[in-house]
Amino acid sequence: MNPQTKIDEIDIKILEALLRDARCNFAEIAKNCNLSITAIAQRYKRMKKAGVITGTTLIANLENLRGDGTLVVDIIAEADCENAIIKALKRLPGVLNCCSVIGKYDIHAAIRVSSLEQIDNVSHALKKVRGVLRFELTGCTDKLDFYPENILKTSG
Amino acid sequence: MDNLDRKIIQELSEDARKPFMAIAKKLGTSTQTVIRRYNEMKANGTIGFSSITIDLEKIGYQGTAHMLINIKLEADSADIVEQLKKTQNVIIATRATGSYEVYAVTAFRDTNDLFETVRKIKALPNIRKVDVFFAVPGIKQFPPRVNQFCASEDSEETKDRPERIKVSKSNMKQIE
Repeated sequence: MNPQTKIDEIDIKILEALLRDARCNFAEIAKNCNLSITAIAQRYKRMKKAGVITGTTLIANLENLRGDGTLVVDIIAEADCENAIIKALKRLPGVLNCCSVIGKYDIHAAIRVSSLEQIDNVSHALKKVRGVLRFELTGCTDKLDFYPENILKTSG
Repeated sequence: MDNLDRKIIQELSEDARKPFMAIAKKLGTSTQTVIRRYNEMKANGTIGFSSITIDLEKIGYQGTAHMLINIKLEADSADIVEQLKKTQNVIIATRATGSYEVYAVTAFRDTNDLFETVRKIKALPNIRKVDVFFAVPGIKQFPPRVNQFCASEDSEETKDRPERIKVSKSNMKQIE
């Protein structure tokens, strides 16, 4: 297990602000924490170096991916095909995450979709991937919201 | 939306914190233009959400579990999502249609922590059944990164893709 990186209250405030908006203003965070902008930037750099912050993500509403729909895909797969299926799935546009799971199904993925046609396309694509024995599609109707505050609160 | 907008989004998809000056330089336009386009796209919702990704393991979480939840017939899934939002460790929660009514993702520090979270969710009113799936190694990075664009033909991964999967490419074209 990786040693846990020390994160304090101020780090959490910085993380929260950045999780809400990757381009948030350091000056504002500095004002909220009563610290200098340099101090915030230093903490940001430290967390990046420590690997707490791994990168950035952006969800855009392009012509082909508009709206709030998410399709949850659960797959029962042949044991030796799991990795190949995951690799194939990751290439589909709009894939949010795709991983092996333990439980009733073998692979779990979430894909952004905005029309029935796209759901149909995902389903067609899945049928053509070797090793997929059975899959179940669950459509999520809400805007996909993330609640990082639920995991940041008690860390530190 | 024109090509420049699309290119700006592509740049930002790679690094959402990339300085506008660097983007402008790369795309051969002025910084002012990039800033204006960015603000426009943010205002009209083309850019929906931008965030840093964090390594859950580094802040003390061992992994994530996905939950597919069945609720009681008379219950409103929106209420349950509202309650899940306020539950410790829940990082994603949404209403769903299909075999399940609610979908949620939780992070957990250890097995006890996961057990507690599942117990808490099961104790919420109007929950009928919770199917838990352990993701191993799970979503290490949170929030997830999105594949906005179809992978280009000449990318590394394309080369060793088996024939059968290539067929799905035509489907992807349709999505485009």
